[in-house]
Amino acid sequence: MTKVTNVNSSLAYEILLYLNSFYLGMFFVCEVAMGILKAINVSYPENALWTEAGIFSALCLVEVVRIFLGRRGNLASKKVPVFFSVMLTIPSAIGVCYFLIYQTYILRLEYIWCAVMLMFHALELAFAILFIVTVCKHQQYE
Amino acid sequence: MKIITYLAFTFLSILIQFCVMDYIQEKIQTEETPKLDVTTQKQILSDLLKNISSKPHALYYRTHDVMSRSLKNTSPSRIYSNSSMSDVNLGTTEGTTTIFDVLYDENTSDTEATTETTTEMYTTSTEFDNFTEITFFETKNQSSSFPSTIPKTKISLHCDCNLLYKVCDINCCCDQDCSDYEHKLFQCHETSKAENKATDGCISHMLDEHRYGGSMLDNLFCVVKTNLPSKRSIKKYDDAPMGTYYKWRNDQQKQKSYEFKKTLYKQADPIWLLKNGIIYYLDFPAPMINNYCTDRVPITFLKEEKIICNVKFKDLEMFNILKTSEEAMVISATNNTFNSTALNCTNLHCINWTILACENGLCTNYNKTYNEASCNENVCTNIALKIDYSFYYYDMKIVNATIKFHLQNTSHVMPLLMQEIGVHFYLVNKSIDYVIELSGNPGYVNGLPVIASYVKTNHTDNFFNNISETWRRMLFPENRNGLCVASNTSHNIVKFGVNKRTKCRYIYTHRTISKKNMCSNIQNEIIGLLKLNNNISISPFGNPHDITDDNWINLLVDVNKQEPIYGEYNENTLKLYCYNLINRLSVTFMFANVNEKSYTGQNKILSATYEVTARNISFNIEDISIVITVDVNFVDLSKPSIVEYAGSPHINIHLPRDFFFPFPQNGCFNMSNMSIVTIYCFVILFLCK
Repeated sequence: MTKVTNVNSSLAYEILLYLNSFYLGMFFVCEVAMGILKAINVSYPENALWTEAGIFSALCLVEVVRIFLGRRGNLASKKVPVFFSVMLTIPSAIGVCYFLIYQTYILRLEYIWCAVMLMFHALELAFAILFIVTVCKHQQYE
Repeated sequence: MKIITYLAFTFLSILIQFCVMDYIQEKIQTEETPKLDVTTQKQILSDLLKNISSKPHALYYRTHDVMSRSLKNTSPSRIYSNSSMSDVNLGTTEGTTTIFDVLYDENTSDTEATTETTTEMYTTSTEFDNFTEITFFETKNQSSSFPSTIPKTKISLHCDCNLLYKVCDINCCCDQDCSDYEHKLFQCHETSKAENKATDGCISHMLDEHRYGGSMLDNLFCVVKTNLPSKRSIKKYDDAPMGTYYKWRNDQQKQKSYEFKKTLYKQADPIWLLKNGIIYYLDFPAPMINNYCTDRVPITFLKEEKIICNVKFKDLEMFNILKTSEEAMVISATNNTFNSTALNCTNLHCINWTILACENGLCTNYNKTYNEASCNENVCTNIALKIDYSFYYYDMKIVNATIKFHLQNTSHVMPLLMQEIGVHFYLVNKSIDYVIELSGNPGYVNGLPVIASYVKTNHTDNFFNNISETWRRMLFPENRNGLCVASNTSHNIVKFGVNKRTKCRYIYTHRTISKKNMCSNIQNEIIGLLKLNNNISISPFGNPHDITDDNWINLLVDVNKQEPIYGEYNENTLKLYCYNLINRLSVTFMFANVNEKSYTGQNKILSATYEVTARNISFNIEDISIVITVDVNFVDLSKPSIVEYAGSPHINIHLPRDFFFPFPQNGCFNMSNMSIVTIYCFVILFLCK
């Protein structure tokens, strides 16, 4: 018995991921800029700056992988990559929340950036779950 | 798109970012003028950030979010807008009555008034929020622009420290009354002081906004929250000193040597004295490592001091001062002093000391005959445990040096006495008693007197023209040795933010008046003592300038509206019964932290209420006395009246109904269940064994 799947990729999910990929670049650039700005002008506790830099690098890496998997899974109508993308949303959202709440100095601008990023996460999570459900429903067996 | 592409994109972003930051850093260092005709994105960003860098408050950090432009819109519950002020009518609020209930102790019975104690106590003082601002970018060349170029004709801005009317306040760099010379004297050009000037109110922010055209960017670059760890004073010791031997501390090396440089007084210079042709500096006792006056520190120019320390009777500073004041004169270097070789009063400005003896607030010239300290077996009279130095600096020299001895009686049997020494400087040619002191500018400052007016109209004019300070303050009877004393020299002044209860005993002395009118006479005297028959108006701000009569808050108790007073005299028991006798007064001020006009975060009194309480009291005819209580309360309307705390966590656990009896209720209790129970019982018995 061979498993056959229909092409039912989500357009909304694809648009979100596409926009998110560019937003991630902007977010990365701006956060790095803001980090440098803060490092110059305010004093950080010991190792706090390096900790934040490390968390930010990890966040960006996870985000890149998450978006890549999401887009690949969506376009190929494969639920497994999308499932992993959904799983990666959790550490990614935690990382964003760290910068939203727990980083040493939080600027108002960063509130906005992180909030937008979390909004992307929330929407993508919703559409990804919808996509997985849709794929599971439309699986046909021959 | 492959993952490699994403990574490449990210690294490209980093590369661009570092290029941009490198460019910005170069620009900041070279301090080039900003080019506004930029076209590229890179230049636009550069100019944007450069504007921020030249603006001292573009990025700032705030610990409390009370005072800010952003809060004008976001926190209406804490900041009261201008429009809401005039409509506020808080005659008898719940908050007020609550306070009365808490503060009025009704333990004393009506018939046993003589057993009450007379005390004076402070309840709680209102706390005010602070806010701190840290400038992200250092402003360049501040010293070159400040302070000597400030024109005197500039419109008076918000200046918290300007509290003396038409007199320069010491170390107040924004005081328009100060001359350029005085600004230099205060070293206003120093970075720390200039920063203080800039951050003492948010008006400077608003000015900067006008200059740079917008506050949106400010808000975005605000540090709205920090997660810095709490400061701990942990000293990190190096390993190097381990095993080394330490020597005893040599205090002599630490003592700073002062030298008379023949120049005009500058900040931190000691006050110089001339005694028999020798110049030395004036010092006063101070505690070194404990509360005892074991050290002496110089009195330095423009540095206000207040020191309290314990000392033996024979070492009281007043004896030392009396000796010094007779022998030495206070000197000031003049322009001619620098070139002269001999130092005497011909080329120095010399002044003699003015010594005042103050008793109960009334000061007179010190007379050695009347005011000299003397002791008998138990009590020493005319002992000054509180001493105030006042130096008046005017026209580049000290024109008056006054010492105030606050005389009192004390016991010389006591091993140690606590003495208080204060040092004050004034940049004025007349006594500070004749200078009008504001209680804030414009909002009230915590701890300064509430401004009152006793006239019917022209309150503001009266404040600035009335010489007597008594008629600018709210005075209540003072507790002196338990008795109520109401005089112009009493110090029971209502101070902003200071909640205070005063209790004192009033003694009725007019025994010649017939018993029939005695109760009403007692009542009239108490009303006079509490000034209930006066028409008092309160200034809403600490600086009543430009406040119209309508905005002054009128305080008036209609005594006639109270229950009528009446009494009876029982000749058998020799007791006088007075009914509805007013003996308690409560003054409640409602204030809030407001933003008005161009001022932010100013304490404004919104309303004030008088409330009196009457009681039925019986007097023994031989001792007609009653305890009078005056309560002054300040209620901050900026804060919620009731602070609600989160309740304790409530865990709602319900055990299943059959938790202790795990057998079905209506099921068949068959043999299998019986066997299981039997097995359980055997297992338990086996385990018990």
